[in-house]
Amino acid sequence: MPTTYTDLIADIRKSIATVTLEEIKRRLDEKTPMILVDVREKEEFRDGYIPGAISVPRGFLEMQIEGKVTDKNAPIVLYCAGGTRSALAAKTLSDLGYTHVESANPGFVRWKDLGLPMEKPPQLTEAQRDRYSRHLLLPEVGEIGQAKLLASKVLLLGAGGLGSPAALYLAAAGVGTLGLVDADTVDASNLQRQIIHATSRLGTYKVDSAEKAINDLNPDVKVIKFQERVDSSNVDRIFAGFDVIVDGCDNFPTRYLVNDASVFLKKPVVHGSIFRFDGQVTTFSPHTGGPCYRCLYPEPPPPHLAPSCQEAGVLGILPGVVGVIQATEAIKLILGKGNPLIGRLLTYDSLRMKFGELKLRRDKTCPVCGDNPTITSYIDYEGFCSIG
Amino acid sequence: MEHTVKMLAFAGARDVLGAGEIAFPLAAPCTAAELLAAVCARWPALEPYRRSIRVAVNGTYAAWEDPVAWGDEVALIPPVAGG
Ligand SMILES: [Zn+2]
Repeated sequence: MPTTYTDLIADIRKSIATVTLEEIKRRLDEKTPMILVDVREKEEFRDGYIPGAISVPRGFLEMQIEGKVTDKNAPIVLYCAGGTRSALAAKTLSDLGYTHVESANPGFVRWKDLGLPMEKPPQLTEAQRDRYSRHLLLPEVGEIGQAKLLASKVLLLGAGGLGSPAALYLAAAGVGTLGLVDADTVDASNLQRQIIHATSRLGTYKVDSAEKAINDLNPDVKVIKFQERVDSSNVDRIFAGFDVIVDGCDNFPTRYLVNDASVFLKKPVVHGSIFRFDGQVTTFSPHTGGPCYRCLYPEPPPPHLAPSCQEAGVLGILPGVVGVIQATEAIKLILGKGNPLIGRLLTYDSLRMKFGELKLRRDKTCPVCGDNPTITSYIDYEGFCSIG
Repeated sequence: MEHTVKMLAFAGARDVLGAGEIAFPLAAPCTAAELLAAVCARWPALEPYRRSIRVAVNGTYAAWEDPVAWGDEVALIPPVAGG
């Protein structure tokens, strides 16, 4: 039985497998499959780590490792600064049933001295670490995910019922650039649901009103305003530079235009639409294999049967639910986490309080994303939607 | 098995049918297109939506030639554009 710390370490070192830094470098160069786990403290990791390593501080090892490495037979290489903490961690992992664990010897201090390649996590400011602390606690977001959000650019079509809650949550989440497209001004009848606006801003442009709310909420967010209606002549310019399009517009011609643009420009569209008490949400990403809006709805309804919220009425909370689901999808696309609604239509019936899901199929004969597309440039969308 | 399909109607289609869920009698198994034709014949107010509405069978958007059998769950989904 070890009686001192030195005895304990010596015993453990005898029971675990070690690996040299040169060997780790060789495996990295040859892309040998291995899971590199940095068991140092977060602050140490932040100053640099071996490329590809995941951070699991030793104090959290038992709690977090099974969430991060599910395969107990996966090849795992642990490292710390000098080789002691990683040796202790290796012992812990083998006690937890991991069968293929090695501990680096020595560790990162030597790695750095040798001038071997390292990566640095994106640096958040102290204020950002504070603001996004609840995100940083989530392994699925963390500093790297938060940095992705801060570097991302999301375009919101419409600063209305859907765009309002989506913009607020995306801004709160730290999406670094938010584009807002809306030509309208704030009307008193908007405020029943368009919660980004305010009574004090009645009559001002919605893009200006929304910008004010966003700036108040999160100064990290840069707002790009498009005080115009999106149409065939400006869609390429407006979409340029954005990673994700959140479609919360309010009419069929724009829905079809947005779809065609997203196919041509290969950008994902998080689609939300509402009618009275019902909502539909899906994510279109035809360039990665999913269906497009035309696969789903080849033809718009005749105009007199396609009433807007203004004509048909809408439960004020409905776009809140739908817009927030759209924002969730946008965040997931940026983080690359979870399962997006690609190929699935989420239906929401607020009266019956039921969510449903319908599987969507790509239409090989789709005129825009099919095998032999007939629509290869923008068409007359008003004309297309006025037949009926 | 009764000779019906469980029919779910969304948005404008539900307004026309007057209910979100009904048992719709089906004389014989048919295609999705034939089902929609039968529904439009029963509720003529739905006829103008016919070209834009989509039918899902057992949770999947159906092609018009896809079969519909007794006991299937069929959904009528009109596109909605509000935002
Ligand atoms: Zn398509």
